[in-house]
Amino acid sequence: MDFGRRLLRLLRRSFVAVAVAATAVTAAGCAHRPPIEPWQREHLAKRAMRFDSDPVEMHFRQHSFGAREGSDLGYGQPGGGCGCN
Amino acid sequence: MGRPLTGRAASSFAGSMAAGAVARIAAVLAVGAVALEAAPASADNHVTLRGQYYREPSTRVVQPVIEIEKDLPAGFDVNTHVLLDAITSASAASGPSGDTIFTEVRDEAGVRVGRNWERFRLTLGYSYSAESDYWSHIVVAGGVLRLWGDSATLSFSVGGGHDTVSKRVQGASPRPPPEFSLNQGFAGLWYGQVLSPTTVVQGGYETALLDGYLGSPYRPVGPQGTEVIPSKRWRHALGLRGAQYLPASGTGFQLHYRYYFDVYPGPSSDFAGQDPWRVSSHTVEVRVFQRLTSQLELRLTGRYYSQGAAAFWCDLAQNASCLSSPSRSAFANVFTSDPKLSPVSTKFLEGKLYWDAIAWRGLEFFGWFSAGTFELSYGYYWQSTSYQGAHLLQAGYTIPY
Repeated sequence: MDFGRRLLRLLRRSFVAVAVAATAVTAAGCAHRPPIEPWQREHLAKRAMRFDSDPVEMHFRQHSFGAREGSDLGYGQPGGGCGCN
Repeated sequence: MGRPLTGRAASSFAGSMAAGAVARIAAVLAVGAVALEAAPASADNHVTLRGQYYREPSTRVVQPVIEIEKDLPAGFDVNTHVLLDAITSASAASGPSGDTIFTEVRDEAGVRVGRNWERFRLTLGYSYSAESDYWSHIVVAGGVLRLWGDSATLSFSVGGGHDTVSKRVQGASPRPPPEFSLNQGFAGLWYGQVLSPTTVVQGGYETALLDGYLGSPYRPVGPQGTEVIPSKRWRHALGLRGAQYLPASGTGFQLHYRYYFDVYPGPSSDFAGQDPWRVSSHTVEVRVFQRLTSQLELRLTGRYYSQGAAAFWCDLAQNASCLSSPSRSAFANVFTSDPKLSPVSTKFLEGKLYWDAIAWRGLEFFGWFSAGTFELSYGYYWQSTSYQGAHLLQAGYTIPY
């Protein structure tokens, strides 16, 4: 199969998936009126509701698992330690 | 694969830590103490100290880290971190051939400057990592835009990196000149939506393009010598996350899912129209948070990861003639037996406690720590590969100032 065509199809699929997901969550946001008021945000500030509450821990786990699993993006982190790919 | 570490390795490891790493951490702590002394109190200013430990039969990693964040005038803030990775390994797969025990120290330092506007936050960061045979520079810019009356966020990041790699040879200079290089560019886009005062969802896409030396100069592959990896790799990942909080019981749930795949972005003629990568994986992670008392919170984490092999990977342990197999004739010039490019499945279970030390307020000496939060966690990491299981232990303390 021609590589360029395969890459194009891959990109198109990725774009469609992201577009569908973005549309769905945006629609969910628009449907929520009025927006969350400041006095309703008490629970949103809790540790359990934050996905990035501990960057230091995430950094360590990403580095440890990234050296043992093949699908780590090495995303925004310096390389080294073990393996390079 | 690697053999278990012995007591001799452990003591040599401790010795090397004592000689260099501990001195450097002490210097970092001194810098942190100066920052604490000089700064006026602010809501976001904090110092985090943490010790992290990873142990599997053939590898031990001790990682002390310090992170300092400080608000600056005019909407700016700065975050900096310094860490040491002290790695003791007996693994032929991840270190010098000959299966010798060695200790390697990796230093990493990073700084990130942020600027806040009414609805937008912009950050710019730089990280540097150095060890005796690997040097890495990363620059990353990111932004967060708050939307729909602060009920949604659109965040992005884009960056690049440049690594240089060399190969140490026994008896030669301990700091050999760089031989190989690797360039990477990466980007990510995430959208988060608050659905209710107790429900949040987030979805996003991340990508990274790698170009250059992607192998390890030490990993042997049968009679071929060291591994040869395709010089280009294009990684993609789609992620979905959700969080739900139950106020009545003080319980929070998080569910994370990630789908990953990669492709070879070079000319199709390089591998006779075939793709040498084609690694894909699924990751599911569940976190449960439970408030135990007003000062104590428990977090339980369960993670499952499953991955298919790279198309050019060869299972030399099971099939010695795999490199000459007709099915991989298109990949005659690339070969590896790297376990992380094989079919991999891992499981991770962890428990973590957060304790707000306010109960120490008024006590002599301990009262100094009463404004902060202590953390302690233990996790076990099951691996289907020859690396076997691993223990992860973390202890930390964060104090606002």
